[in-house]
Amino acid sequence: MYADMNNDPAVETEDGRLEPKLKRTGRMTLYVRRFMRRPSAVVGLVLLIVLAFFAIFGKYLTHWTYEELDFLSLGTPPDGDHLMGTTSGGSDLYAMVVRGLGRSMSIGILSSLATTVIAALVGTAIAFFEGWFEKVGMWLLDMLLVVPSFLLIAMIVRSASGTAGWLWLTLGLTAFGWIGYARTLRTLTMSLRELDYVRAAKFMGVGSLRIIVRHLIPNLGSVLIINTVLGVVSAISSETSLSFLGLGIKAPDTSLGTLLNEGQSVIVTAPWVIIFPSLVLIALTFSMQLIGDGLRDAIDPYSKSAGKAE
Amino acid sequence: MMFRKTGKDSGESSPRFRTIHATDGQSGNPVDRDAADGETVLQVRDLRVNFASEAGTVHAVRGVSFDLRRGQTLGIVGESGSGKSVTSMSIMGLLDSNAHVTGSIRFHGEELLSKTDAEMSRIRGDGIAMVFQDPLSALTPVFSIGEQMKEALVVHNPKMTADEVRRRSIELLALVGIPNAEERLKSYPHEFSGGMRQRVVIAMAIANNPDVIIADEPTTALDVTIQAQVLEVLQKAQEETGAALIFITHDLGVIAGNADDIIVMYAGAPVETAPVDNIFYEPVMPYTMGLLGACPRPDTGREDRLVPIPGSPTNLVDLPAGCPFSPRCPLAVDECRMSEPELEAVPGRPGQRAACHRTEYILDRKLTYRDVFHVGKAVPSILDDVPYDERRTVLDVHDLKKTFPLTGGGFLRRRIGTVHAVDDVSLEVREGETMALVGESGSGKSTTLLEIMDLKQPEGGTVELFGTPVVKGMPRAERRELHGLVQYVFQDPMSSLDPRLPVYDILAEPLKVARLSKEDINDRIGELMRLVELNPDQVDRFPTQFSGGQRQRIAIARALAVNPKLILLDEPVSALDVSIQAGVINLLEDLQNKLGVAYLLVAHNLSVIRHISTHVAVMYLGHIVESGETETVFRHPLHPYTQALLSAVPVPDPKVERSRHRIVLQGDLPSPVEEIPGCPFASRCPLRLTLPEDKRRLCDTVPPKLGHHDGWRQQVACHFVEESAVRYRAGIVQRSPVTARTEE
Repeated sequence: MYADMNNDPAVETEDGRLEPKLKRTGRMTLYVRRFMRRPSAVVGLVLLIVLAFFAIFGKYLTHWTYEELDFLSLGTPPDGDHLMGTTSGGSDLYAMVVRGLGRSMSIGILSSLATTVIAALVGTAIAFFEGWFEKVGMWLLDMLLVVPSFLLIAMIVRSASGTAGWLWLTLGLTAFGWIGYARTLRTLTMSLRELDYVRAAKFMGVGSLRIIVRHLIPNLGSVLIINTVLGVVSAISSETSLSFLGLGIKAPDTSLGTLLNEGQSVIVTAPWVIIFPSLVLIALTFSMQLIGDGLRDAIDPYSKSAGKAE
Repeated sequence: MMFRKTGKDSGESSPRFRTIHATDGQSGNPVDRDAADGETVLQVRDLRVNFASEAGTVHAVRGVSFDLRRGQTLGIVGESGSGKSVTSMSIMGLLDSNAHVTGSIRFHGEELLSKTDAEMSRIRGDGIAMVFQDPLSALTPVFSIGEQMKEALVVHNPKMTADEVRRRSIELLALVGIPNAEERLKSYPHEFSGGMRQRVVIAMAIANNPDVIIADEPTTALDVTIQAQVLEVLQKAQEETGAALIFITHDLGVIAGNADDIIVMYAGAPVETAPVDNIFYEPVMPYTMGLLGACPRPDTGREDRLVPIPGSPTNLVDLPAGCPFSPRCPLAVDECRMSEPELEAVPGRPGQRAACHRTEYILDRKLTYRDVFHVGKAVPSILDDVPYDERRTVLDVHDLKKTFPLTGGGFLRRRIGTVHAVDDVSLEVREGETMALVGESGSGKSTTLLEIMDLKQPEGGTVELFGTPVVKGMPRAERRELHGLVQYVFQDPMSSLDPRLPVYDILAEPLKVARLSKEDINDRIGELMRLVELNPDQVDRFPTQFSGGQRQRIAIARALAVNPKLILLDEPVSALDVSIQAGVINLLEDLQNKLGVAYLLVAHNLSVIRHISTHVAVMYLGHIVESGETETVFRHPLHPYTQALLSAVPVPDPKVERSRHRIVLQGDLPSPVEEIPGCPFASRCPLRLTLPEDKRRLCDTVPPKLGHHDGWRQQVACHFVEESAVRYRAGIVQRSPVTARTEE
């Protein structure tokens, strides 16, 4: 990004001396470098990519689709034909897991990211502007907190048509997930807004939105990242519970939550039905956790992954 | 009350304190406490402390040895990270469990390092007592002072009756100068001011007649006039108990007057130990010289340039192979980089020991800090040719007012009072000059700066920047233009730089506001880094990777980025170490001379102000009580408060310190909530006490206006300027050494 600057190695200063032109590495490059220096973070990233590939291309490894039922093998353990066995209804578990992982990943990651972004912007803005803006904002947040979100999500998803159901579910989870979180972030921002560097930016005449995006949100970084990672897990579990009630993902579509729910009832007779989706879910959350740790470390100025100025 | 040099003759203590302590309490080891003066009470030999840390082993203390006699005052001086506090903590046995301590600490011949924590508890507070730096956190907020005094007494004297405890507590509080001691026993710590709390801490420290008192930066958190009071109390406490005092500080001025011997520490090791006079007048080790040269003195002005020590303090994890000071030492030769020098006696100087390979070289040539360190020349000012009256006014503040409402708790926030933070403050700053605002905490100096910086119409009065009045509804463009012309530097560079942004982005921020192109920003940042003497290649590093001084340079560079004409600086050097501070002060001066920028500076350290400012305004309770040219005000202070303030400044010169007399102001700053009808200083004014009744009434009822008085160049807000001047000249008010020396 800054490569062009290196082509012109010297610039003339006011007193005529030749000074080397400033070489610099961009912030993003720094973050990427620091992230990559951490082996566990790289492992997490690789794991996530593998899972994503599995979710997208995994279906080509079997001739079964998730909608097909094999009435000849109901609840059979893994064998050459059904890689992960079948459910008691005769669905191929492998195809179901691939499909379910895709659904869960998109629902979990999308809604968690969206929740974080909305909550971070709203929460910090409410705290930053103070005065009547803060009062009205808090009042609105408190009002929204009382809304029975579960019921509303259920109603939204119910009214949605079959295949787009998961999108509506994501939307619903996001729309009601950010409120309490925004409130927490506002409290955290209240101590940040008093800090000298925020005041320094104000004194320099930096615009409010810029201060929020450059100074406030990055300094909530570690909280945001942990919350995003945990958010993926909790979004998946919300989706599971909604699916359990028959309001989330509906058959023939499937998700890890639905699968777990199904496996739960046959845990003794057909344990593979719960084991495989669980393993995949664990791998997903584990990779998110590793990535989260790595990211937090990469953007942490106190991190050990950098040298020391002499 | 006078500040006397005692110490050596303070062996005897009053017998009434002895009664409680016939034997040495619970340790079962009777110790003769009435030993003759000069008996060694504490013996430290080759003390070494290591800490485990993520980065590796931190060698915090590396071979400290000393003997402490009864009544002796030992000063331990060093910058942050020099191991002085760790030394005191290991004597108290209060180090963290990850510390590895070797060597020997003997208290009355008993080895302390092998004792368990429970055994140490019997000695702590009884044989060895400690006064901490921060009196705010040294007392428990939920217990009354009486209960805490009782705890200190009863823990070591379980047989004391309630009545005895009470009598002893009152006696101790009276000794440290707390008025109405009997009633104050019921008060809680928050009802005391900082100085009063420190007195309570001292009272608790001497409660059990300790043999050793360790005072770790006991006055650092206090204002100058309060510092004078507390130093006096500490001295008195030592006289009463006859204890040995270990006084740990970074401020050479504080220690000059009351220490007998001094240990100078650098990177965990003592680099020079000597009687106090030798350290101040004939230092041998270059580091000691550097410290003295870097320390601004209140009796030398702007023309005497400070001598900064190059480089920054050594990292205690990876110590260099040779002398730890060698990377910063101008005299370092190859030998210094190969082996670390031992602390050896300096030939011809009894009692003085220095750890330096070049001792002979330095002694032969009689080198002083001016020879050792490079004294840079000040850059000539671009405004030198312009007479003061023709310079443009950059800031004109007239009758500025700022109040804060004080609201009661509860459901409905009632307004129960008003804090007058700034009251009728008028200032004028011209280009290329440095105006300093001095005052104690709570005097409204920082609020004044923030009010100006806010660029909003003030509550009362007017603020004019570059001839443009700051009013409500100022156009956006005009406001942005002003933002470019006025910049701000904060006190603490740790918190004023966003830790998440690399230096490049920090410096780019004001430039982006000024809408410069990417190319221009890049060029300007390189220029700025060189301007503040930092390596431009380090722009990708984060603020945490720089030392305090470097960080303050970055903050200054950021302020300079858009070529402002006025910079407001809030205590710009008070968070920095002495050796670093000098470099930043010099840098500020040079930048001003080069760029013609004006500074409005807030500081509580009068020595720094004398070095850096051309004009000074003294603030007290939101009012300016005296203002004028720095030299005029420092030489002939007229307001009684200015006189007291100047007399309380510690001077790093033992002879001056011993012979001086401080004007110790009675009491504390009144609460800013109080409505004061007359002169705000009346309640503490030493001049008012000498006035007849009718004149006193004037002080109590009519607030004096800041104005010129016949024959004086500065402006003063006092009804009785003549009387004050006469008293000062006649020496009734003891002259401060600050003014005395410069008049010679």
